[in-house]
Amino acid sequence: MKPCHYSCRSADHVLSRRQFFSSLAGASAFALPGLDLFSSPAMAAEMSSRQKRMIVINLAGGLSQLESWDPKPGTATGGPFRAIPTSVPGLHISELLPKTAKVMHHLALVRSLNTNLPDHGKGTYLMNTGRRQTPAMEYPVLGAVVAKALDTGGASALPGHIIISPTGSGGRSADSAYLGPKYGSVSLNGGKAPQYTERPAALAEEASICANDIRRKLNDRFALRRRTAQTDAYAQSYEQGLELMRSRHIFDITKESAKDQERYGSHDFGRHCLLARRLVESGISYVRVTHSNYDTHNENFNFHFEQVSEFDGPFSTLVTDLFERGLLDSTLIVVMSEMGRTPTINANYGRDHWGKAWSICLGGAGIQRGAVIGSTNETGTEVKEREVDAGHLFHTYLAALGVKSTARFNIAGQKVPMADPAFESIDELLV
Amino acid sequence: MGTYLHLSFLLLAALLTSTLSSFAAQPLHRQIDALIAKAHPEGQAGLVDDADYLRRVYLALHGVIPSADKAREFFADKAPDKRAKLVDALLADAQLARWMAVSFDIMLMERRPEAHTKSQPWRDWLEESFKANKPWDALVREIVTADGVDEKTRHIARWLLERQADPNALTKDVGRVFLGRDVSCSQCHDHPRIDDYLQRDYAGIQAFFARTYLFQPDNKKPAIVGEQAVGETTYLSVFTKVGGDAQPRLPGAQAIADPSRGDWLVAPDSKNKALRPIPKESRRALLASALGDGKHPAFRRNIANRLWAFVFGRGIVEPLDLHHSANPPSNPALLDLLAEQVAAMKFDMRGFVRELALTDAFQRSLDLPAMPPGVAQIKGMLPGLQQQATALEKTQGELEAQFRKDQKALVEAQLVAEPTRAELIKLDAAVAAAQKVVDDAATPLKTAGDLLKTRRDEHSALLAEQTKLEAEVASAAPAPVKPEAPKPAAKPPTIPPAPTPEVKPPLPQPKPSAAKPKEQAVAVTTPAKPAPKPDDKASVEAKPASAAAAKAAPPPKSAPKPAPTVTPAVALKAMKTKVAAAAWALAAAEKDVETKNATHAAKLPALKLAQQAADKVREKTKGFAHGIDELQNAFVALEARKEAGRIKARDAAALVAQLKTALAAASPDKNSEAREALTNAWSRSFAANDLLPLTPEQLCWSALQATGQTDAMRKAAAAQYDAKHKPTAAAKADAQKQAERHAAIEAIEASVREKRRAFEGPFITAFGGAAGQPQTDFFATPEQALYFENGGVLRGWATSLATSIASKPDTRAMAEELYLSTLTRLPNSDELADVEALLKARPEKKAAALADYAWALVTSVEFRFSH
Repeated sequence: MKPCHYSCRSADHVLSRRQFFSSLAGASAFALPGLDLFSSPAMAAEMSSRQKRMIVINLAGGLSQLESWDPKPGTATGGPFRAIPTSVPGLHISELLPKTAKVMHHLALVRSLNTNLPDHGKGTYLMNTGRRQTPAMEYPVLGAVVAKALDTGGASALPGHIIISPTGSGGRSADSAYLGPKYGSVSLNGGKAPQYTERPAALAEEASICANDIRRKLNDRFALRRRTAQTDAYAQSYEQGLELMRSRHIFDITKESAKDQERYGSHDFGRHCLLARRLVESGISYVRVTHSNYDTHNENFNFHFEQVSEFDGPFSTLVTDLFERGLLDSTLIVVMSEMGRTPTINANYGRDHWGKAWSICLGGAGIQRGAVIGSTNETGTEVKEREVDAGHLFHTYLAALGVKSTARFNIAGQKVPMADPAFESIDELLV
Repeated sequence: MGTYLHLSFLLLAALLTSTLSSFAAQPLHRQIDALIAKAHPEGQAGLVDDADYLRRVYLALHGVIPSADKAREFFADKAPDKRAKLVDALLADAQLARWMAVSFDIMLMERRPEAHTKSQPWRDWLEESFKANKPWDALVREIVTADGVDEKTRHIARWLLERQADPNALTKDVGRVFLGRDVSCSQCHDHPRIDDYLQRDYAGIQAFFARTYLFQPDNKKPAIVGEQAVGETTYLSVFTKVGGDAQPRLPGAQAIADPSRGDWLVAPDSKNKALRPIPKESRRALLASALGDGKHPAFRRNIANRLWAFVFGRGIVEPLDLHHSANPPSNPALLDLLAEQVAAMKFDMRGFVRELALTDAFQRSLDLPAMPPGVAQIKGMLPGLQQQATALEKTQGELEAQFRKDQKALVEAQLVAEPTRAELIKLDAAVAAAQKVVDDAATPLKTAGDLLKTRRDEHSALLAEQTKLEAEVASAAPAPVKPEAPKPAAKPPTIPPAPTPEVKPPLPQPKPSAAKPKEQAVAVTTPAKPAPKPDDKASVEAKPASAAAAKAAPPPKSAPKPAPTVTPAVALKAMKTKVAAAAWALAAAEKDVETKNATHAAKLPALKLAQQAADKVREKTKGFAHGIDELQNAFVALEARKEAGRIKARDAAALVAQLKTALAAASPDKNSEAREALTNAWSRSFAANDLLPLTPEQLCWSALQATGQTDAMRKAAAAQYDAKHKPTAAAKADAQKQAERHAAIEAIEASVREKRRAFEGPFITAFGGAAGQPQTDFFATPEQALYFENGGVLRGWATSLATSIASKPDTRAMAEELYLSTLTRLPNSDELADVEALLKARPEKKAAALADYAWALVTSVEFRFSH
């Protein structure tokens, strides 16, 4: 599996990301499409009809399904919290999610997930790639697959696959496997703009302009000797970099209204949700926000009380905003973890790793509003009906985004299935 | 370029006329050049100038550009053989082994993380191996048999351990890395797009690893490689559902008889989980000898092609791991020669690399001549070649037509034969059904026959007794009783008096058919089935009759005992009754036999008819089969001819196209498309140099070298040494002492490399492929540019270069130093003017202006690529 070869000289293979449209020099004369266009909801709605996007909210460590989407109050496994009604008649979720309960009619639940991988690493890999890990093959993560599948080959210098997390390198990761670095995730370390997009204080702008002018002149001269798709791509990558510096404001939530900043809250997760909104509005295909940490082997209930409550506000605000701006029909939003937590409560009032019967929440593009797929038994120890695997979910995400999930990528002549061919999408969940 | 006369074409002419033996007597690098020249009668690019050559040979053999001082020294050298001398000097330098270790590490490990082993000791081991010029086959043997048990050599198992010792991961990479065949798509079925990659070949390699696993009973202790004593590989195509068992076997080779019978050297111990079991016979050891005997053609071609790519930057087959018939080498004869020679040289990698580096091919310019040098000749040659190609194409066309015709004929013959074949299957089934009917009828007949025999015996026994009694009665009362006696005996109405009743099975012997003599024989000799089936009408009917007969007939042996008081006359009367009953039973049995015989006989004609019909069709199919076999044999032979012809025609057509491209490129209207096509064609087949990106390491090391960082590190190392040893003036003059100092500084080089490695990380992150993915793919991202733009590191280096240059006496000296340091060449007049203009515009900030210029040079396309 290889994204491109020396022997392949087609520009499609070597040009970075969405091919930059400008000529070698003077890129700054052009404004990037997709930026600053959506000051009004109407504009956003206009865009929504054209492009699909995805936001994943990753509740790292393993959210307890019992303290969220599949409460079992009054049973041996149920814990202290009650279930409350939601905006979907007959559907109850944990009382820790009062705000989310009010927007449930925009969302859907899958309550019969059985991944049976009670392990952070393996579970993360499975939920992220839709496949079980094998040493013989490395698979691209969901964000890379979505970024590639939704890549329209437009002119944006922006990355299609962004990860916002409290920590991170700030650079591009190699999580796109055979899809190539173009679709690897760019991490926004602590919600900051991508690494090296800011000119260091010590470097005068004139110096940068001068140096780049010399570089262009040298390249133009060398192009007279030999010019290939590779040399063009390399020369253009600098223009893309400069363009990314100019577009840096799309990563800056302080450009959002003070009111919005207040609505989302000043804590990391709130700010990151607002950033996610800003990014999808700027045309970025895939954004993942991480909220940490749900690995509650001790004091599960206290921790979930704090964590889930912190999640509830920004998440429901995000759903509401996407709906009001007309973006929910084109934006798939998924709340997932790497696994669930044991129904059994341990001696430390904790819940441990669990993969047999747990839940995810999703909604937006392509998803039936208010749907509930599957169920667990009375105490949540087993899936009762419509068992679902991470492979089914992966297909479903793609199908919801309007991508044929059984299609194959053409990787340098090799056909590679986008999603695990052993599974298919959950059609009753799709619009 | 340009300064060297283009002589190779003349050389070629001389070579082509020389004999084959003198060809073989040439050193390998001359043979290589001759083969490339042969493939390019239109000519090749000229030999490269000193500047490009120096940069290229350093990057190829040391992985880093030369210093400005080295460049000046080389340019000044007027010796005609200075290039060959430089090759030998570079090969003798320790940096060769270092760079080879990095290259082979990346090729073998593809930047996998350090899950089980550390990368550095493994890379050091590779470096030691290259320093000792360990042959490739020996290296491979060590890699595939390592187990990681001994802490001191654990790193050698990195290749296995970082693939989790997983049979499928190892199979894939034995295919890719050691055989040049990416067989991973044939794990679950024959490769859908590559005819040569078969699932059974995959399974054959996998069988070497089927017993290998990651042994790590304790998570806190390092994993090692384990192997079972048993375990086989089976496979099943997910497409065709055809599969089989696989013995250890390299693609296209014979299966290796596995001597193992599941014996252990160290048997598993359920009580001691920490004990690693060791099989008596290791399958991986079998692989080590199968691969490592260096005889497998794919093994030779792979390493020949990979070493070629190490020197030239691209393989003769590209991608390096996709050797197959639809992806032919750019010069098939060349790869054949190299594969043969690398084995003949006993996989001496340094010697082989030397030959490659000495070729003219390695010294081809990036720039194409305005006019391909052989244009005049090919103008004359082209009509002949064209004719030849057309003839070949025509022959091939005919061959293909014939092939299609034969194929059609074969298919048609099969189609024509098909109804007959299908009919025969039906008819044979009918014969079998008829046979079954006959067999079914034979069973009750035999039972009835057996009963008849019993009845006859009983009857004759009773009759004999009656005769005896009559004699007794006659002797006692001779007179009138006589006439009655013979009557029943002589005239039992239905009892045939025959003394030996025929009880032999009345089965008529069916004529044994030629087709199924065996089955017939079986059918005939098969003993009657145990019991008549209850649903058999004849036997059901027969039962009551024989039962009644049995009831009526008194037991033959118990009856004869007359009471002593009974007179003979009375006894005779009783006996007569018995005989009559027995006669009745006998008659019934006879009737039963008759009925069953008739039933049986009635079934025979149908069987016979069925057999006749089947035999007739069978003869017909034999005729068809013979014809199809002949067609098939002819077809296979034709297919081989067609395949050989296809390659010949393809090559001839390619040559014509290449020559036409060359002519078009030489045309006065400067056909730029043709020129680009010729550039690509020549680059692919080594008639001109290709423009290839530096690897992340080459780029990092070269940036460090260009900006003076490496020299600074070295100087610091030397200063450190001198500060410690305080060499006197005398010691400085002493050659021995100087050598010692040099060796010590060389040792400090290690620390330089350590420092250098600290800078490699960001380069690898930005420019390298993902872990476990092929590392040869080129891509350009904004992150790369932004790392150079705002990362600070490169700006800092550029500034330090500028600072050292700013003290030069004049602008020309500054410009020359800038260009020599970064691009290994002197600036041309335009470039000189640019530097002058820049410095004039910013007279008060010369160093800053030079720093901008240095940054631009390092980020330029010319620096990023090898040319």
